[in-house]
Amino acid sequence: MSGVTFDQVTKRFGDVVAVDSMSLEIRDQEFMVLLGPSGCGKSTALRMIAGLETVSEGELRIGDTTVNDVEAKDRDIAMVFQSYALYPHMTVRDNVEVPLKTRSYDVDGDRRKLRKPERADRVAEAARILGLSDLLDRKPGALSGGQRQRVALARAIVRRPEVFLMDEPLSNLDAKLRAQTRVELVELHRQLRTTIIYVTHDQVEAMTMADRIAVMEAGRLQQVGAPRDVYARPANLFVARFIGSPPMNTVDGRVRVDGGRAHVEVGDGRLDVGPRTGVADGDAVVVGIRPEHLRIAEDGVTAHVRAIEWLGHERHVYCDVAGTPVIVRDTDPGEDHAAPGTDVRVQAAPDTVHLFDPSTTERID
Amino acid sequence: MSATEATRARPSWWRRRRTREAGLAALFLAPSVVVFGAFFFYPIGRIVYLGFFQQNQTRTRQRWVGTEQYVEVLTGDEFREGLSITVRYVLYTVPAGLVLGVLLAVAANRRLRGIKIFHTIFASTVATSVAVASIVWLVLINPTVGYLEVDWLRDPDRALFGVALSSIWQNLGLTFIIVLAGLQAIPEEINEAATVDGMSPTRRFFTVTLPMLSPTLLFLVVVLTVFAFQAFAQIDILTNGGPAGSTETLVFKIFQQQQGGAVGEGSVMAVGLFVITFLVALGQFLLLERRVHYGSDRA
Ligand SMILES: Nc1ncnc2c1ncn2[C@@H]1O[C@H](COP(=O)(O)OP(=O)(O)O)[C@@H](O)[C@H]1O
Ligand SMILES: [Mg+2]
Repeated sequence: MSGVTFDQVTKRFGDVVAVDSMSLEIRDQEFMVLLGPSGCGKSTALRMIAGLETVSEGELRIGDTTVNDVEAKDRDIAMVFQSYALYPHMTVRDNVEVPLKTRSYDVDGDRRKLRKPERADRVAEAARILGLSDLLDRKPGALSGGQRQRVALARAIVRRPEVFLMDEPLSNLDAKLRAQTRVELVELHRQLRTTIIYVTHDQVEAMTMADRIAVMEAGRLQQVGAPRDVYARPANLFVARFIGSPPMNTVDGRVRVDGGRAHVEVGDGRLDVGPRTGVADGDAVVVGIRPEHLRIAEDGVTAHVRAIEWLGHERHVYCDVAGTPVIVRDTDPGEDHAAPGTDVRVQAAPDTVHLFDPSTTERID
Repeated sequence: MSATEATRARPSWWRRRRTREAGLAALFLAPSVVVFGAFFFYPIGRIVYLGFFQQNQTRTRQRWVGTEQYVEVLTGDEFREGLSITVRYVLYTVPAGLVLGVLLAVAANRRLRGIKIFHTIFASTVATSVAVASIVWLVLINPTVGYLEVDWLRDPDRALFGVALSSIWQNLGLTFIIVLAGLQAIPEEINEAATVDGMSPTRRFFTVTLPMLSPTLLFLVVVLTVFAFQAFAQIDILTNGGPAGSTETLVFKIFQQQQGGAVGEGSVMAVGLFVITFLVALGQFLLLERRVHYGSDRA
C-alpha cells in the first residue's frame, strides 16, 4: 500500500492543457476524491496514475517510486471504469481472475505467479466480499447494472493493489442504488485499508465518502481538504459556488469598518461580519452566505421574494437581493410574512458570512 | 374448449382482421418473393431440371436421361478433379486472407496522424474490379515486365497458388474494412481495463480482441469461403484454366461445359457445387458458432 504524489504535473493534449501544474499528495490508505465539473481534468489526472496517459511535465510518484516511465501493466494499481469495462465473453469468475493470471504476487515472501487453487481462493474471497458468490458462472450480459458494478469492484480488489482508481463508478446506477453503494464503498475502504482515488463530478459523493476532497477546475487544483473544511472555508469563489446544494449565495458588497468591527453593505442594508483582518474600509468584496445560514428577520438586507418551494422538511425562498438571485433555505419555517411579491429582510450570523476578493476570487479572512 | 370451438367462438371481425393481415403480409413479402423467385429459385429449379437432359452440340434438341447423368457426373473424374482444385484454392485463400486482413487491421487500428491514408490504401482493392485487379496482377508477376520475376502462372504446380495470391490480395480490402470495423466496435475502456489488469499486447489480442472479434471472423470465414468456391474471373483472366488444367476449378469447368454445349453435364456440376457450398457454409456456421461470442457488455 502506498500514497500517490503529483509534483507539478502537467498534461497537454496538443494545445489543450488538461491538467495544469498540479501538486497533490495523496496519503497512504486515504480515500481521496477528485471533484470538479465535466472537463476539468479529473479523469486525465486519474489516468496518468493508471499509466493510461503519459505525463507531459512534472513528476508522478506511487509510494516512493517515480512512475512517469513505468508502463500501465507494470503499475500496482487497479481501476474501476465508468462503463465497468468487463470482458463480455468471460464469466464473472474469469473476469475477476484475469488480473491474477497476468501478474506475479508476493506469497509468503516469495514473488511468483499464483497457482490455480490459490487463484480460485482469491476469486472466491473477492466474490464473497462483494456478494457475487452466486453469480460467478454468469456472463456480464446476464447481470444488472449494479451487479456489473460489483464485478468491476471485485476485479479490482482481487489484486490487493497499492492503489484503487475509480472514475465515476456510480454514474450508471439509479439514485437508490447509488446511495446504497456509496455506503458500501466506504465500508469496503475501511475493510481493505487501501488508498482509493475516486473521480466524480457529484459533490454528494465527494462529501459523503471522502477523507479529503481535491476540487479541480480548468485543469487546476482549487482546494484540498476534508469535506467539512472545504464546505466551511471554501478557498475561492469557485469552490464556494461548486460545493453545497443549493449553492452558496454570492452578492457584491462594500466593507465598512468602524470601531474594530466590520460590516458589509449589501443593497440598502448592512450585515455584521465580526472582526476581520484582511479587509479595509471601502473595499469592494463578494459576500458569500450559504442558503441555510440566511434567515428572514426584522432587520438586515432587503430581499424581494419571488417564489417559495415547499419540500416538506424545509422550504426554499427564492429572492432578489440588490438585483442578484438569492436562496434562503429555511429548515424551521416559523410565522413570517414571506410571500411571493413581498419584501422581507434577511440576516446572517457574522461567522457565517464569507468574503471573497472580486478580482482574484480568493477568500478573505 | 377444443381448438376448433375456440376458433368458432371468435367473432367475425377477428377473422376479417386475420384475412386482412394475411393480405398485408403477402404484400410486404411480394418484392422479395419476386426478386428471389426470378433470380434465385427459378434458375436453381431450371438447372436442376436441365441436369436431367443431354443436349446435342448445337443445343437444338435435348434428350431425357434422368438421374443417370447426376450419378455419372458427380462420381466422375472431372468433377472430383474440379472439386479437389476448388478445395485447394479455398484452403490457399481463406485462412491466409483472414490472417493477413486481421494483421493489417490491427496494425492500422491506432490513433496516429495520417492513419486514414493507410486505411484508404489498404481498403482500395474493394473499389477495384476483379478484372482490373487481375490484369494488374498479371503484369506484376509477368516474367519479362513484372516486378516479381516468377513464372508461377505457367507452372502447373504453382499456377493455382499464383491465382490464389492474387485473390488473397483482391479480397484483402474487404477483409481489412470489416475487421477494422469490428476492432473499432470494441470499447476503448475494455482495452484499457486489459492493460490495467496487466495484459501484454499479445495476451490482450488473444484473450480479449480475438474473442470479441469472433462474430466478425465467422462472417468473414463464410463469405470468403463462398467467394473462393465461386471464383471465376481471376482464373479466366490469369490462367484460363491452365496450364494443363491445373487451375480448372468447378466453376471454371461448369463454364467450359456450358461453352462446349454440354449444358446438362454443366448443370449437374452446378447443382453439385451449389449443394457443397451450401453445406460447407452451413457446417462452418454450426461448428464455429458455438465458439462465437455475440454478447455485449453494455446495458
Ligand atoms: N485523449 C484526449 N485528446 C484530447 N483532449 C483530451 C483527451 N482527453 C481529455 N482531453 C481534454 O482534456 C480536458 C480534461 O478532460 P477530462 O480529464 O476527461 O475531464 P473530466 O474527467 O474532468 O471530465 C478536456 O478539455 C478534454 O477535452
Ligand atoms: Mg471524466
